[in-house]
Amino acid sequence: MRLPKPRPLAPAVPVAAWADVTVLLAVFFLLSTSFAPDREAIALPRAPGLNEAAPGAACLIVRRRVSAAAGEELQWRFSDRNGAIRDLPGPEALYFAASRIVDSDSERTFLLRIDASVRYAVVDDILETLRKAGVRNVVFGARPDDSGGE
Amino acid sequence: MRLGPTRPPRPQIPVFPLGSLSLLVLAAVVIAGMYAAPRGPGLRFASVDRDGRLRDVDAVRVEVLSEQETLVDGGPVPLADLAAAVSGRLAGRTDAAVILVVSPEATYETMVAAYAAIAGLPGPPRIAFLTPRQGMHG
Repeated sequence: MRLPKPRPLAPAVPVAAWADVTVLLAVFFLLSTSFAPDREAIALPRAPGLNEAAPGAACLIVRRRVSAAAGEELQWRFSDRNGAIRDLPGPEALYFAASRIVDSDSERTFLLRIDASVRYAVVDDILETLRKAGVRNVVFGARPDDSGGE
Repeated sequence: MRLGPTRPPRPQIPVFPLGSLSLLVLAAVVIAGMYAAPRGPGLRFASVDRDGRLRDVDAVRVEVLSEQETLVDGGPVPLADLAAAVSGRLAGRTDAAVILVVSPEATYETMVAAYAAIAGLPGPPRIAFLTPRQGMHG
Protein backbone atom coordinates (compact mmCIF):
# COMPACT_ATOMS: atom_id res chain seq x y z
CA MET A 1 0.00 0.00 0.00
CA ARG A 2 1.33 3.41 -0.89
CA LEU A 3 0.83 6.06 1.68
CA PRO A 4 0.44 9.64 0.58
CA LYS A 5 3.43 11.85 1.19
CA PRO A 6 2.78 13.93 4.31
CA ARG A 7 2.73 17.66 3.85
CA PRO A 8 5.51 19.51 5.70
CA LEU A 9 4.24 21.67 8.52
CA ALA A 10 4.55 25.39 8.07
CA PRO A 11 7.21 26.90 10.36
CA ALA A 12 5.62 28.86 13.19
CA VAL A 13 6.70 30.51 16.42
CA PRO A 14 5.33 28.47 19.40
CA VAL A 15 3.35 31.36 20.84
CA ALA A 16 1.21 29.29 23.19
CA ALA A 17 4.26 27.92 25.01
CA TRP A 18 5.78 31.40 25.16
CA ALA A 19 2.59 32.80 26.68
CA ASP A 20 2.52 29.98 29.25
CA VAL A 21 6.10 30.66 30.32
CA THR A 22 5.40 34.39 30.56
CA VAL A 23 2.34 33.85 32.74
CA LEU A 24 4.31 31.51 34.98
CA LEU A 25 7.09 34.12 35.32
CA ALA A 26 4.55 36.85 36.13
CA VAL A 27 3.01 34.68 38.86
CA PHE A 28 6.46 33.82 40.21
CA PHE A 29 7.51 37.48 40.45
CA LEU A 30 4.17 38.44 42.03
CA LEU A 31 4.65 35.83 44.74
CA SER A 32 8.35 36.37 45.36
CA THR A 33 8.41 40.16 45.43
CA SER A 34 8.35 41.72 48.88
CA PHE A 35 6.68 45.09 49.05
CA ALA A 36 7.58 47.68 51.66
CA PRO A 37 4.79 48.58 54.09
CA ASP A 38 3.68 52.19 54.49
CA ARG A 39 5.64 53.15 51.42
CA GLU A 40 4.24 56.56 50.65
CA ALA A 41 4.46 58.33 53.97
CA ILE A 42 8.19 58.28 54.70
CA ALA A 43 10.77 60.60 53.15
CA LEU A 44 13.61 58.09 53.08
CA PRO A 45 17.21 59.28 52.79
CA ARG A 46 19.12 58.85 49.56
CA ALA A 47 22.13 56.57 49.55
CA PRO A 48 24.38 54.87 47.01
CA GLY A 49 24.97 51.13 46.72
CA LEU A 50 21.80 49.69 48.18
CA ASN A 51 21.12 46.06 49.05
CA GLU A 52 17.69 44.52 49.03
CA ALA A 53 16.30 43.70 52.47
CA ALA A 54 15.68 40.01 53.06
CA PRO A 55 12.07 38.93 52.46
CA GLY A 56 10.02 38.84 55.65
CA ALA A 57 12.03 41.55 57.35
CA ALA A 58 10.49 43.19 60.40
CA CYS A 59 10.02 46.89 59.79
CA LEU A 60 10.32 49.85 62.12
CA ILE A 61 8.78 53.07 60.83
CA VAL A 62 9.62 56.40 62.41
CA ARG A 63 7.85 59.40 60.97
CA ARG A 64 8.72 62.97 61.95
CA ARG A 65 6.08 65.63 62.16
CA VAL A 66 6.71 69.26 62.94
CA SER A 67 3.88 71.58 63.91
CA ALA A 68 3.80 75.07 65.37
CA ALA A 69 1.72 73.93 68.34
CA ALA A 70 3.44 70.69 69.36
CA GLY A 71 6.88 71.17 67.87
CA GLU A 72 8.63 68.01 66.73
CA GLU A 73 6.76 64.74 67.14
CA LEU A 74 7.92 61.26 66.22
CA GLN A 75 5.39 58.61 65.30
CA TRP A 76 6.58 55.06 65.95
CA ARG A 77 5.13 52.11 64.07
CA PHE A 78 6.17 48.50 63.76
CA SER A 79 5.43 45.78 61.26
CA ASP A 80 6.15 42.10 61.65
CA ARG A 81 6.40 39.51 58.89
CA ASN A 82 2.64 39.39 58.23
CA GLY A 83 2.64 43.01 57.06
CA ALA A 84 0.18 44.33 59.64
CA ILE A 85 1.40 47.68 60.95
CA ARG A 86 0.76 48.64 64.56
CA ASP A 87 1.58 51.77 66.51
CA LEU A 88 4.27 51.67 69.15
CA PRO A 89 3.79 53.90 72.20
CA GLY A 90 7.45 54.90 72.02
CA PRO A 91 11.01 53.70 71.57
CA GLU A 92 10.90 51.75 74.84
CA ALA A 93 8.31 49.38 73.33
CA LEU A 94 10.71 48.58 70.51
CA TYR A 95 12.88 46.49 72.81
CA PHE A 96 10.07 44.06 73.61
CA ALA A 97 8.82 43.90 70.03
CA ALA A 98 12.34 43.15 68.75
CA SER A 99 13.07 40.64 71.55
CA ARG A 100 9.95 38.64 70.73
CA ILE A 101 11.02 38.31 67.10
CA VAL A 102 14.66 37.52 67.84
CA ASP A 103 13.59 34.79 70.28
CA SER A 104 12.04 32.84 67.42
CA ASP A 105 14.45 33.87 64.65
CA SER A 106 17.79 35.32 65.67
CA GLU A 107 18.82 36.07 62.06
CA ARG A 108 15.73 38.08 61.19
CA THR A 109 16.49 41.33 59.38
CA PHE A 110 15.10 44.58 60.75
CA LEU A 111 14.34 47.24 58.17
CA LEU A 112 14.50 50.82 59.47
CA ARG A 113 12.24 53.18 57.56
CA ILE A 114 13.03 56.50 59.19
CA ASP A 115 12.39 60.02 57.94
CA ALA A 116 15.56 61.50 56.49
CA SER A 117 15.27 64.58 58.70
CA VAL A 118 15.23 62.69 62.01
CA ARG A 119 18.25 63.50 64.20
CA TYR A 120 20.95 60.85 64.45
CA ALA A 121 20.58 60.80 68.25
CA VAL A 122 17.20 59.08 67.76
CA VAL A 123 18.66 56.56 65.29
CA ASP A 124 21.54 55.86 67.65
CA ASP A 125 19.09 55.01 70.43
CA ILE A 126 17.22 52.72 68.06
CA LEU A 127 20.41 50.90 67.08
CA GLU A 128 21.41 50.51 70.72
CA THR A 129 17.96 49.18 71.62
CA LEU A 130 18.03 46.67 68.76
CA ARG A 131 21.52 45.53 69.70
CA LYS A 132 20.46 44.99 73.31
CA ALA A 133 17.42 43.04 72.12
CA GLY A 134 19.74 40.65 70.30
CA VAL A 135 19.11 41.80 66.74
CA ARG A 136 21.94 40.99 64.34
CA ASN A 137 20.87 42.24 60.93
CA VAL A 138 19.66 45.74 60.17
CA VAL A 139 18.95 47.46 56.86
CA PHE A 140 18.73 51.25 56.74
CA GLY A 141 15.84 51.86 54.38
CA ALA A 142 16.89 54.29 51.67
CA ARG A 143 16.13 55.46 48.17
CA PRO A 144 18.60 55.01 45.31
CA ASP A 145 20.88 57.98 44.88
CA ASP A 146 20.17 59.20 41.34
CA SER A 147 23.28 61.35 41.31
CA GLY A 148 25.43 58.27 41.83
CA GLY A 149 26.50 59.39 45.25
CA GLU A 150 30.11 59.77 44.27
CA MET B 1 -19.12 25.36 -12.40
CA ARG B 2 -20.04 23.87 -9.08
CA LEU B 3 -18.38 25.12 -5.94
CA GLY B 4 -17.91 22.89 -2.95
CA PRO B 5 -19.16 23.91 0.48
CA THR B 6 -16.62 26.03 2.36
CA ARG B 7 -15.38 24.74 5.67
CA PRO B 8 -16.15 26.92 8.68
CA PRO B 9 -12.95 28.19 10.33
CA ARG B 10 -11.85 26.18 13.34
CA PRO B 11 -12.51 27.93 16.64
CA GLN B 12 -9.20 29.04 18.15
CA ILE B 13 -8.07 30.83 21.23
CA PRO B 14 -6.38 34.10 20.20
CA VAL B 15 -2.93 33.17 21.40
CA PHE B 16 -0.99 36.16 20.02
CA PRO B 17 -2.87 38.85 21.99
CA LEU B 18 -2.78 36.58 25.04
CA GLY B 19 0.98 36.25 24.75
CA SER B 20 1.43 39.98 24.31
CA LEU B 21 -0.77 40.68 27.31
CA SER B 22 1.20 38.20 29.44
CA LEU B 23 4.43 39.87 28.41
CA LEU B 24 3.05 43.27 29.39
CA VAL B 25 1.91 41.93 32.78
CA LEU B 26 5.35 40.38 33.33
CA ALA B 27 7.10 43.64 32.45
CA ALA B 28 4.82 45.59 34.81
CA VAL B 29 5.41 43.14 37.67
CA VAL B 30 9.18 43.15 37.19
CA ILE B 31 9.37 46.95 37.09
CA ALA B 32 7.07 47.29 40.11
CA GLY B 33 9.13 44.71 41.99
CA MET B 34 12.36 46.53 41.25
CA TYR B 35 11.06 49.74 42.74
CA ALA B 36 8.86 48.28 45.49
CA ALA B 37 11.35 46.02 47.24
CA PRO B 38 12.71 47.67 50.38
CA ARG B 39 16.42 48.29 50.12
CA GLY B 40 19.23 50.16 51.76
CA PRO B 41 22.70 49.77 53.21
CA GLY B 42 22.89 46.77 55.52
CA LEU B 43 24.47 46.47 58.94
CA ARG B 44 25.35 43.35 60.90
CA PHE B 45 26.09 43.81 64.57
CA ALA B 46 29.44 42.32 65.46
CA SER B 47 30.40 40.59 68.68
CA VAL B 48 33.84 40.13 70.15
CA ASP B 49 33.39 36.33 70.37
CA ARG B 50 32.30 35.92 66.77
CA ASP B 51 34.12 38.65 64.91
CA GLY B 52 37.08 39.54 67.09
CA ARG B 53 37.99 42.81 68.67
CA LEU B 54 38.30 45.96 66.60
CA ARG B 55 41.67 47.63 66.96
CA ASP B 56 40.79 51.28 67.17
CA VAL B 57 44.46 52.32 67.02
CA ASP B 58 44.72 51.18 63.38
CA ALA B 59 41.26 52.32 62.38
CA VAL B 60 40.45 55.30 60.19
CA ARG B 61 38.41 57.83 62.14
CA VAL B 62 35.55 59.46 60.25
CA GLU B 63 33.66 62.26 61.97
CA VAL B 64 30.38 63.40 60.48
CA LEU B 65 29.40 66.66 62.11
CA SER B 66 26.91 67.78 59.47
CA GLU B 67 26.32 67.42 55.75
CA GLN B 68 28.82 70.20 55.14
CA GLU B 69 31.40 69.16 57.70
CA THR B 70 33.08 65.76 57.56
CA LEU B 71 36.52 64.89 58.88
CA VAL B 72 38.69 61.90 57.98
CA ASP B 73 41.49 61.41 60.52
CA GLY B 74 41.07 65.06 61.43
CA GLY B 75 41.21 66.46 57.90
CA PRO B 76 38.14 68.05 56.30
CA VAL B 77 36.66 66.10 53.37
CA PRO B 78 33.48 66.83 51.40
CA LEU B 79 30.81 64.21 52.11
CA ALA B 80 30.65 63.40 48.40
CA ASP B 81 34.37 62.48 48.41
CA LEU B 82 34.22 60.46 51.61
CA ALA B 83 34.50 57.05 49.93
CA ALA B 84 37.61 58.02 48.01
CA ALA B 85 39.24 59.60 51.06
CA VAL B 86 38.59 56.57 53.30
CA SER B 87 39.66 54.18 50.57
CA GLY B 88 42.96 56.04 50.24
CA ARG B 89 43.55 55.87 53.97
CA LEU B 90 42.73 52.16 54.15
CA ALA B 91 45.01 51.20 51.27
CA GLY B 92 47.69 48.78 52.38
CA ARG B 93 46.20 48.07 55.80
CA THR B 94 45.63 44.43 56.68
CA ASP B 95 42.73 45.03 59.05
CA ALA B 96 40.49 47.58 57.34
CA ALA B 97 38.47 49.24 60.06
CA VAL B 98 36.65 52.55 60.32
CA ILE B 99 35.36 54.31 63.40
CA LEU B 100 32.37 56.38 62.41
CA VAL B 101 31.53 59.22 64.76
CA VAL B 102 28.26 60.92 63.91
CA SER B 103 27.11 64.03 65.70
CA PRO B 104 23.77 63.50 67.51
CA GLU B 105 22.54 66.67 65.80
CA ALA B 106 23.31 65.40 62.29
CA THR B 107 20.40 64.09 60.28
CA TYR B 108 19.70 60.45 59.57
CA GLU B 109 20.20 61.20 55.87
CA THR B 110 23.75 62.42 56.48
CA MET B 111 24.57 59.38 58.59
CA VAL B 112 23.17 56.95 55.99
CA ALA B 113 25.08 58.69 53.18
CA ALA B 114 28.35 58.43 55.11
CA TYR B 115 27.72 54.84 56.19
CA ALA B 116 26.69 53.71 52.70
CA ALA B 117 29.77 55.33 51.17
CA ILE B 118 32.10 53.49 53.57
CA ALA B 119 30.20 50.18 53.56
CA GLY B 120 30.26 50.18 49.77
CA LEU B 121 34.04 50.17 49.60
CA PRO B 122 35.68 46.98 48.36
CA GLY B 123 36.50 44.80 51.28
CA PRO B 124 34.30 46.07 52.91
CA PRO B 125 35.90 47.58 56.03
CA ARG B 126 34.61 46.88 59.52
CA ILE B 127 32.71 49.88 60.80
CA ALA B 128 32.17 50.86 64.42
CA PHE B 129 29.77 53.60 65.41
CA LEU B 130 31.09 55.69 68.24
CA THR B 131 28.82 57.83 70.34
CA PRO B 132 30.24 59.73 73.30
CA ARG B 133 27.23 58.87 75.47
CA GLN B 134 27.04 55.13 74.93
CA GLY B 135 30.34 53.80 73.71
CA MET B 136 30.76 51.73 70.56
CA HIS B 137 28.38 49.56 68.64
CA GLY B 138 28.34 48.22 65.09
